[in-house]
Amino acid sequence: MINNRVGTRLFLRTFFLQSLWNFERLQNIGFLYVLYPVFKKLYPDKEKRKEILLRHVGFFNTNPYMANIVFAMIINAEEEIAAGKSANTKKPEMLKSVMSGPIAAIGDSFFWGTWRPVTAFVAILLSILAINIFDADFLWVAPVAFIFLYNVVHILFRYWIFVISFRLNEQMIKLVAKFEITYIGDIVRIIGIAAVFTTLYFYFDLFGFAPAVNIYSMDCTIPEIGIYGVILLFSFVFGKIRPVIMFYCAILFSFVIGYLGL
Amino acid sequence: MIETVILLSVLGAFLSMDITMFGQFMISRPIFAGPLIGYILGDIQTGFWLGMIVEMMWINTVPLGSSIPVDLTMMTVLSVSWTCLHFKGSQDGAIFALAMAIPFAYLYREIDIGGRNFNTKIMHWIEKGLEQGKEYRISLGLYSGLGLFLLRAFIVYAVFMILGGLIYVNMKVYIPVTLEIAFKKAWYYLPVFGFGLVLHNFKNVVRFPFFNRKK
Repeated sequence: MINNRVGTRLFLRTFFLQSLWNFERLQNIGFLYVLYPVFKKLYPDKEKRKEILLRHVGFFNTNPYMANIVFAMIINAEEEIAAGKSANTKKPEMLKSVMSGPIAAIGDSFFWGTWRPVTAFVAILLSILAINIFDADFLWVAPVAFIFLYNVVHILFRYWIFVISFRLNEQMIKLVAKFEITYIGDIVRIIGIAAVFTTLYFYFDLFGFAPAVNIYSMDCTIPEIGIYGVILLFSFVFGKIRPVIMFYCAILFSFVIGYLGL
Repeated sequence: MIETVILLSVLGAFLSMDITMFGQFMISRPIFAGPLIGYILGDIQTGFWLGMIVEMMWINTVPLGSSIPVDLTMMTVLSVSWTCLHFKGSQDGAIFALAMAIPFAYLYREIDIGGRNFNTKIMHWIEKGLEQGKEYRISLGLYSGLGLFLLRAFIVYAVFMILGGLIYVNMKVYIPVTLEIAFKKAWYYLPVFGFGLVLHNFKNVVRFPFFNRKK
């Protein structure tokens, strides 16, 4: 039933999952929008289709990158029901509620908690290197590297789980359970930590030890390496403070340092 | 000037759309949005530096579940635009712009919450339509939600850019020298605060994976 053309169309529609995000049922309309072409094919009778659409208009929420697993499994379940191979009409609803939470936890922790910060930081490292070596001529490297690194993994992963979930169907649950996401996440985080320390070295080399090789060639005060150490330790230890408070504290700290003439 | 504001507002609205409404390709993140706006306005350095600061200080800010975080894209776009349009190349001007853009970003968050409440009404309209067999309401409602978001974001960006810009320029002139020095120092200190926060974020590597794998 799902040929390449329909599959591609469905895949492109998945990017709209949160376009009508609302507080009451979160991604429910996005969910209907993605699956509508499938329902139209499976249930040509309008009255029957109405019943199916109303059945799927309820609450839906998961990580948008991982949602493709749920979509593929629900399409398989609906195909079985429409073909008369299964009479369990509650199965799609059950799949929605059972799968959404666990896969959301995996997606949130890996993509938003690990992959995004690490790729962003690798991009920052490349820029600091560019400033160090080429004197700010290659700053465009940071945004390009970030978008490229992040999306190569993100889009390929989204496509891969969409395709593989169709093939494996319920076996996908076993595959998800086997995902060594904590292990992969730890490796990526260690790369992130290495990137932070490398950036710190180059940053201090640029702006900390000697008259600054400034990002601008204009006069400025030269921060001391000791002050940097205090700031680094403070923000590392009190990292749970709300960022907005931390920001204004940093401004206040800079004011005090400037006022004292340090 | 007005053409630039319109261009930046359209671009800002499209970048903000990436946060939740479409795709999540991360073009809304400050590390991308900052240099992009800076490049357009002829000062990629300021764009990159402000983007880097916001990216690192708000490293954990992502929309999860039903939480609506502060709009980092607006924070970055406004601060980079104000600096590049009025005090290009000024370190103290850039940090002051960022300090001013934060309350505007929080204000926009409240407007965004209002918009998402309106999405609930559209959702009920679609549901009612489905009961009456009007299936076209799924696509129409979804595209309307997307369109209204873009329109709302565009208007807010334009108003904030003009009004905030006026406030920014007038206040910047009266900033005392001691505060200017503080902002210049903060230009270098804030990334270090960011490095510490990123390290804090990564510190939950509780086990070294190569030696401590589960059997």
